[in-house]
Amino acid sequence: MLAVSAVLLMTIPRNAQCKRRGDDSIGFGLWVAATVLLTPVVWPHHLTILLIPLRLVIGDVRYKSGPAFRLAILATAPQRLSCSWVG
Amino acid sequence: MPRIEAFWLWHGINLCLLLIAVWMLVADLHPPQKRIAFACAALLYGPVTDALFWGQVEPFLLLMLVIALRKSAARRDIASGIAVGLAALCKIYPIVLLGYFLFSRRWTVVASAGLTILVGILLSIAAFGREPSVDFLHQISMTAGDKLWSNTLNASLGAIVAKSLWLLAGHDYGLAMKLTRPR
Repeated sequence: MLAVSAVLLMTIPRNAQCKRRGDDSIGFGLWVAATVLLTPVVWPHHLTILLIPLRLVIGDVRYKSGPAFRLAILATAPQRLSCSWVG
Repeated sequence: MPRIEAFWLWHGINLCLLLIAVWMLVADLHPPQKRIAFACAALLYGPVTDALFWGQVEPFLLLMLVIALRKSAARRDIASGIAVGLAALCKIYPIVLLGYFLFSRRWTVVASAGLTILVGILLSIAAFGREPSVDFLHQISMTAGDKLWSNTLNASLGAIVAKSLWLLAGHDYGLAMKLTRPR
């Protein structure tokens, strides 16, 4: 419950921030990453949809210190963590 | 249809859907070298090959979410909502994405996604009866919560936190699996 709240607390304000900056796509990507993080059961193939935030990060590398950077961390964290557990 | 033909048909469809989704993802990337590099990396991405190997429906979900993203950016809210709704009909977890549209106050997207899901459920009940839908709800209740946290392949946030805490607390991982295994 605490982890879910933390993800929502990271996602919702950033979504508003992206909207203000006119980065609607980054907001969408944030929610795609949050989708994976909020799902109670995540198998490795569920991480396929993280290609969307990864693509958005590639397209918006100019915001290295902004929401795109946090999005990259959110998007890659589940896969890195799952790899450490599986392998 | 014979099983072997059905197998190849399904995998062929999955591969086509994946290629379309990746092509749509990289279509507006510049320069072209970056486009090719991302497309190649995407096709070699572990979860993608995993989804293809197991014949999972994730390539379709990816395509629907890419369509939702593009239509949302073009302010075509109804099409975006339908795409999210179709994704949520295949697997339940993309429904979380409606949070983005709720917090962005894009009510048309939310309404069209909701209607798509409702129509899909009604069509499913009309075609296959109530039994599979009731069984689906039963299956959800069997796997919800912490019941699959001990599975090594489960990469959910809750599972990762729980497994980390088990290890930090010095618990035997095998014992933890036995304690949390669904009965």
